[in-house]
Amino acid sequence: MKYLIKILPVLLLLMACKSGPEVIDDLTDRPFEVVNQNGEAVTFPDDYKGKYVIMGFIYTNCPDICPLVTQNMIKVQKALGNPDDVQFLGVTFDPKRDTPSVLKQYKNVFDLEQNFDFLTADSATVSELMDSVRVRSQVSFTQERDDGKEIYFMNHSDKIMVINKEGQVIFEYGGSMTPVNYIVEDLKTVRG
Amino acid sequence: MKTTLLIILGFLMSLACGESPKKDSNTLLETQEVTNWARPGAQSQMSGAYLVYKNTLNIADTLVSVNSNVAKMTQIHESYTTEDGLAGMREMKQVIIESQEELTLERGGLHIMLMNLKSDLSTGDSIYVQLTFTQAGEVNLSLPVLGSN
Repeated sequence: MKYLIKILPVLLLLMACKSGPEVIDDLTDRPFEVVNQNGEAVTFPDDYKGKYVIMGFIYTNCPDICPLVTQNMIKVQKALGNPDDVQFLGVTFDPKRDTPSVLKQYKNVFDLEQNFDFLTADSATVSELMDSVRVRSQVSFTQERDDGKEIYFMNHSDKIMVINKEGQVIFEYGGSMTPVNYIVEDLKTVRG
Repeated sequence: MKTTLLIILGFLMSLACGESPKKDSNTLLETQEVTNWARPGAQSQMSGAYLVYKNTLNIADTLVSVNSNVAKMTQIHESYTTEDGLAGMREMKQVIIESQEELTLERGGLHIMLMNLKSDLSTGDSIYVQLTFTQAGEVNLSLPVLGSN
């Protein structure tokens, strides 16, 4: 009994220090073959193992909410000092229009750092990827442009999430409205 | 005595290791609030513009259309949350502004949608927007393009 009492503090300490954030989703069982804005092949999440990943979901024809999501991620990157062990990813749920070249154009508009990439894939892969991270999107309405071309808009999940170095989702936030310092503080905690 | 001290020490350390940092919503990363501006955008793509307009008339006024020199199509849109929790957007054909009230076009709410941009919009550029009201008529404004990063 005396022995137990003596080791109790050590046990408490070990338990407390080992208890990281709860794993929300484990993405490691299903790799996705996608491409970045340069057309380079990427296996998600395998290619990012060993790094924390801040991931937001966008479509480039969205003029208000999605740029807010992107800008929040940029603010996180700046607040952290653009560290090498954190990768930023914007993933489109509109692969039909968001080709690598369109995503490259989008990246250029925001004048982003090197470790900030945008990903797309064929429609089936994007759909499966979005299902795996519980991101929903649907066409909400269409309009005809002045040049006769039809454009559509989408309702979609508004989300940023943090993936740990093992490919597990550990934090999720409202993408456009969450105060950036919440995300920064969570990251500082897990990165130590 | 030694054991008690060890327990207290362990308990305190467990608290220190396990507790999440307190989130301070008052620590704003933004340092400046700009109300009138437009977002950068690529040619043929979308952008958004934001402003505050006060109806100084003694009667209510209605915003019925908006135009811009940089876009082939310009509309008032509203970002909103759908019943099932998705972020959505809808066109507003008109917006009523009561006498002496302000119309606020801002991120995440009512905003000017610049569609099919004629050319790239970059930080440092400026654009013109023309708001048409039923009472005040046409109101022309110049907005800076800001990165807001």
